[in-house]
Amino acid sequence: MLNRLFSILLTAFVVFTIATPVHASGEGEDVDYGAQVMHHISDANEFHFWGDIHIPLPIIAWSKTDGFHFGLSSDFYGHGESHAAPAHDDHAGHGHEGHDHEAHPAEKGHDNNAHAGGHHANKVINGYFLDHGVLRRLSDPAARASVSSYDKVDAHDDNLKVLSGGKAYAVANAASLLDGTNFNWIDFSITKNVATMLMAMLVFALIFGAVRSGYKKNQGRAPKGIQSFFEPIILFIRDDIAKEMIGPKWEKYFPYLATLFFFILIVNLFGLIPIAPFGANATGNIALTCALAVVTFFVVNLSGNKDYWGHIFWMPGVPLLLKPVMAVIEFLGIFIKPFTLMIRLFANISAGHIIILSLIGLIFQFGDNGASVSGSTVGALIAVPFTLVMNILELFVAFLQAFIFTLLSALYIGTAVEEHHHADHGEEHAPNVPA
Amino acid sequence: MLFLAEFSPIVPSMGMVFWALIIFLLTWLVLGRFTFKPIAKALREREESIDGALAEAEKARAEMARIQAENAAALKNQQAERTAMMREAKDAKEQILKEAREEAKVVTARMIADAKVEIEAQTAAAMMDVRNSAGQLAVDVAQKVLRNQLSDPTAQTAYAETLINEIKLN
Repeated sequence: MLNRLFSILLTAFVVFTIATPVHASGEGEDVDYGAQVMHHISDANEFHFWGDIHIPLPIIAWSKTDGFHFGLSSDFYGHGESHAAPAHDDHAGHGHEGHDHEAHPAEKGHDNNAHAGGHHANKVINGYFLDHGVLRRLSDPAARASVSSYDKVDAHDDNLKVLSGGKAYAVANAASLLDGTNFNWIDFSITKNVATMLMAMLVFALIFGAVRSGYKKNQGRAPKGIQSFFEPIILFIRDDIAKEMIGPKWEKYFPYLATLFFFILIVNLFGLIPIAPFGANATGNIALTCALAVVTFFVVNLSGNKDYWGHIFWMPGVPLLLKPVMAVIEFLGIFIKPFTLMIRLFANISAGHIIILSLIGLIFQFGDNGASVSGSTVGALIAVPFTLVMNILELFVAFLQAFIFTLLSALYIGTAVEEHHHADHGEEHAPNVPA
Repeated sequence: MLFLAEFSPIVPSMGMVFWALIIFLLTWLVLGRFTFKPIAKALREREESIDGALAEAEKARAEMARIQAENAAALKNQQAERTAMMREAKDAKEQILKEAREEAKVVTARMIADAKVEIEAQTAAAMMDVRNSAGQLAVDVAQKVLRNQLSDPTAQTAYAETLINEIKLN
């Protein structure tokens, strides 16, 4: 999250504004903090520091009609040569929250051209444009060909509209799994979440390359250096997750479980580093948890033995009439189990980020969105210690959720590969067997 | 509420699901195969080698204890043997001494007996000698006495008469 940086900047801002009289307009307006928070925990096509400072990321968009479009998110930043729409208001005074313009969307929409003369993502290329760092596309093919920049994105009636040259154009969001097959374009860009995953993979590989070479060098001897730091965790995954949950066949699944644990952990921890290029809420994005849950789903069900499927479709030891009912429940369970994995990780990590952002939001709320310096100071005094505590809690949650996801995956794998002894069942269920 | 739908981590973007799958599967494939598999193997080998070494040490300790016990037993045996030998030697010495003493006794006794016999024989011989000498002396004395007494013929006749009387009486 950007919260730490945010706190520091805010403190600096507060100190600065105490010394200089504030001559800013647009303060004290109603701010939709919920929207702010949701925007911050969502994926974006660029890493945003503050104001117009960004780390550009690659854009890879594919559409049914036009094929691939490659570029950089910085391509969308114009030079103020766009349709000279009158600047709505100049948010000087809180430039550090440059994308806080959706603060008053109902009135003005989000104005990407607020800072006159600045570099703003108001270009439209092949119909693609950035809306607060998120890649979107014009729905109308004719507009895609003709519109080269936009004035603002208007969000009246819960429908995004792009205003350009006095005309409004409909917007198509990138495809999600919820769209099924009914979509026009897919955003394959290296978004900040994807970049986070790539960095996590790289860091993961670097760390465990070193750990692995430690095992090679100190073969048969005590671990040293980074190897001895990670060995207890590796042993914990092996002994208390893999062996405990899976049993004698643990060794085949150990690499998967270890990869799962450390991948989730590293991405979680990256999300807690408040400075870009970290701080992306990647494990708090359902797309990532969905992918992980899907992999676990396949690992579990492709390892399922005869007993596993037997217990799902024809549960031994229950009365005959119950068997079909159990089959339906158990069959749904196959999908519900990975679904809960997906929701649990997503919800826990997102919740942590939301709480921290809400605490940061207190500063703006108390400060009446920049109008009251003393209010901001009080807000900061409250928010900063609470944020610190929440960050420490989130550090624990990062480990806990990685552990839980791995543990439950191991448990599900365990039920899939477990060998049942029917003699045991006979004894166990004997009283239930109808004559 | 406006942005809940527009900026949402709840909407699984197809692109991100795609990348997440690719990245995670790649991580699993590469790190699983080239890192965690060998690490698991290295850990197992190390544990086995440690267990082996411990068992080996235990075995060596048992072996050592066995050898020590054996040595102690041998020492004890030797001591007992020595004691027995010494006792035997003592016994033998005593036996020999006893035998020697007994034999000496017998020999002494025999020598004493022999000496006695010799002494007796010598005594007897000496007595015989003495007796013979005394007899000769008596005869000589008697001769001289008789010669002296019988120088007168009447005395001779008287003596002869006496002797004849003596013989008659017998």
